[in-house]
Amino acid sequence: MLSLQSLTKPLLIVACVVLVAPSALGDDKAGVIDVSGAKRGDYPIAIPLAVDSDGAAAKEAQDVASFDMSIAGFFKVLDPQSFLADLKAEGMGIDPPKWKDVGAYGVMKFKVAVSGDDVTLDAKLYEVSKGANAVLDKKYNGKRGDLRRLVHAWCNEVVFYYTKEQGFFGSQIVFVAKGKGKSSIQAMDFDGHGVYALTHNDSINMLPSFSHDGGRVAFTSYMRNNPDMYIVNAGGGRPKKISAQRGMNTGASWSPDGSQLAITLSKDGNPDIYIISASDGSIVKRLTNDKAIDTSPSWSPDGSQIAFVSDREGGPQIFVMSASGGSATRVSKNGDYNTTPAWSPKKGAHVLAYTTRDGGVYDIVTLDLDTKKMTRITQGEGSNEEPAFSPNGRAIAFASTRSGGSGIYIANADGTGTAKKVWGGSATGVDWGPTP
Amino acid sequence: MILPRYHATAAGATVFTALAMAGAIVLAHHAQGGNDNGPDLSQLEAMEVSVARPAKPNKQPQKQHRDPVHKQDIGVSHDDKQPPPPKDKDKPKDQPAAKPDDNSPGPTTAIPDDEPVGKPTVEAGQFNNNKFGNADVDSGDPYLQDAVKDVLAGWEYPKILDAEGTAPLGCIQFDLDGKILDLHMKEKSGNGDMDDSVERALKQFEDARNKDPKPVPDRNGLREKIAAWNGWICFRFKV
Repeated sequence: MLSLQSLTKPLLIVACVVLVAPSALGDDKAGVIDVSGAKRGDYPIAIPLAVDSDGAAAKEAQDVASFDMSIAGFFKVLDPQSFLADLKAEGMGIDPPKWKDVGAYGVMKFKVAVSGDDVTLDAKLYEVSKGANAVLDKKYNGKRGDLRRLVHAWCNEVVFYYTKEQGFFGSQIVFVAKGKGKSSIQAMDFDGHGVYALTHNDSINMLPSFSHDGGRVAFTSYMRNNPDMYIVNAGGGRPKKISAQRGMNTGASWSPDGSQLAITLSKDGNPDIYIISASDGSIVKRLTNDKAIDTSPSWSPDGSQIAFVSDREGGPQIFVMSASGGSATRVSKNGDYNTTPAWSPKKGAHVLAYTTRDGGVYDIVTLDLDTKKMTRITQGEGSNEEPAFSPNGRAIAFASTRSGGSGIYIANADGTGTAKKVWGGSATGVDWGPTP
Repeated sequence: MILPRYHATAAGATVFTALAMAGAIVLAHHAQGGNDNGPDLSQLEAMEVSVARPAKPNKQPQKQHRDPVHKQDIGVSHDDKQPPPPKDKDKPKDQPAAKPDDNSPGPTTAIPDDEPVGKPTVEAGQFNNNKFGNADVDSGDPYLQDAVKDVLAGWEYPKILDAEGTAPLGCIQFDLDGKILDLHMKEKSGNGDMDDSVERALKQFEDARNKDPKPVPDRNGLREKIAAWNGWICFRFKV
């Protein structure tokens, strides 16, 4: 089909070049070519081993920082083997061309001094394009055993420098470790270090949920034979029974102010969503009253909405309703089996992550409730369930059974990159606490 | 359908004539003394060069390149009691040829037809969604297209960085034998990270071309054209 447009474009190009060419005669000139489409990848950052430092502490600082930055969602940690710089000569400074030559955009420098039980961490961040002056410079003091925490704090500063968002390093994850005929609630640092048990009974304990201040964990336990709701301090201790209605007392989700819990109760025979007091378990409000099964409530970060799972339209699907009650709207439209919704805590975002069954396997997806855009977080990597967002919404933790080993994995919440395993074992019921 | 191509050809001839004249005069000018400070920005000349981006599936029929399908060798029986395979002359001659069956899916091959194999199918001369009927890679000289592709391959701008600022102009001085003589940031963007990323791309291009020079081909007046620019070609980098 011959169009006017197809005719005019070549003619316009001719006009352009012919008009320019005569004026260029006799002068120095050059051809100009438009180049568009830079690769918008992760930010290459170099984290060399600290010099003039305690050897073991220097290695620990490098390892912790490298893991943190690799899991943050927008950094690519360069292989230290590729570094060309004379680290000894550089000390805490940098020779920018040497780092530019290895593709680094940012360079992190550490000096770790150990004196008895005490440790001092000097940390500097350089942007190679800005030269040899550090753009971020911090000093941390603590006990030797706190070094990981100090490095996490530094990495949060680095993330904030680049994104103006809080990082999630130093936060904790709670989960259920499954055993034979029993399961226990465990807590650990987000990177899998420092695992400890929050329950010490030989019963089934499940569905842990961090309060928004990170101080308490609600969970359901069969320790008194009925699935009752308990709250335990995040650091451990004696659990307090908070709801022991007849039937199910499961799936707690904290209100943003920590005063209430949305849970599933089946005291009248059919599971429905209720709001109870987090201090004494008294029922504040019944949110659903449907003959279908309503379960897995998740309170939105702004406190205005509750997402939950219901089979009122057939298979289990995700619904959203006002936290003050009213009608519910189905939001999951894909497939016939969608469960375990979790809200993104990212400010201004209305995004849910949930488990979807696709072709007999379970995967994690996110759904933007404003744009209806779905993003696949896992695919073709075994079975993946029960997502939980990081405190800044940049990452998602989930339980997985895959060829790389069962356990808890963390993936970028935008669907990019490869998930990293942070805990190995048979796990379920993942929830992510706040950044300290 | 011939008319648009005709206009393009006419355009090319006009441009070439103009550039050849310009080239001859500028060569004479530079013979008297070149400029070492990079190209004069006021005299930059727009060029039509772009790179094929096979992001969308081709709509037109595409010729697939694939490795030849090798016939499977048939083993030889070593059983003395087994009769030899019948020779062609032993075959019944009056057997009617099988009629083609329109419903038959036909012979299967080891490689599914819908999977691209061998070389990429988007090459110069192939049809795609371009309104001129050909892949974008057909516009401009392939040598310059290669240069654009190579520059682009080395241009990374981390997503975390702010892309604000005007598009920087980075220039490369080509030797006709294929080496890179000089680099020059002709126009900065006002965004240090952006300019830095462009400098890295230019440097990477320089290193690659000096390691493996690609001489400017003697076709369509390209050598004369580049010589007329004193070897300088500038790239306007747009994120």
